[in-house]
Amino acid sequence: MSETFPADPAACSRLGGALRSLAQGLSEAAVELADGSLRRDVEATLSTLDMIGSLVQGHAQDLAEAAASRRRLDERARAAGLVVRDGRVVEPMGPVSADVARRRLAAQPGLQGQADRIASRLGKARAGLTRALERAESDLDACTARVTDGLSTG
Amino acid sequence: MLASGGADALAALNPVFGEHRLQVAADRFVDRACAALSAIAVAARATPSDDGHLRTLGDHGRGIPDRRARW
Repeated sequence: MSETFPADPAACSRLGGALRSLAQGLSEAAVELADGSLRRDVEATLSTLDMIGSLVQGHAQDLAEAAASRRRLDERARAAGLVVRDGRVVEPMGPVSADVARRRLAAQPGLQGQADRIASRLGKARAGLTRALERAESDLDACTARVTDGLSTG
Repeated sequence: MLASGGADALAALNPVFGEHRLQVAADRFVDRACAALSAIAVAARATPSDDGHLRTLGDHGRGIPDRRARW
């Protein structure tokens, strides 16, 4: 499993919005270009920026929903006398009565299932966005190479 | 606006995705997007010649030769 750290949905949303705004603004300016390879490459680049911007905005929503789900899970776990640590629903340290221990034991599998579903959903969303970003990176590299080659060869 | 490219605006953002591989992919994508936008900005500033082709950068004395040398 890949290393994780706290995400910032708002910052991700800003990136997505910036990519889409940039693509939109530059698309309007791109119509000034004559038809030809440069215009096609500009349009391809802007299409990539817009597509990734949309995916990043969608992922920001995924992150916000995952954070809300985790907060709800934390509350349910606390109500059952349990805590969530690094995606695992566990008992806090300290002695408890046999009755409390039984209740915790009964609640743990259901809560762990919820924690696993939250992690799985977010993991799939992250993997999908990662694949899209890696493909888009190659597309942008190819466009940049064509644009710079066009400039150097005239 | 095409000439300005918008790369600076993108580069100033600092999104945090919360997972290492995704963060690397996002950072690399932004780098590539900035490079593409910069290249487009330079190309858009280049004046088309009469036959509709762009002049080489050397005609305008812009920075691409130096960047290519660094590559």
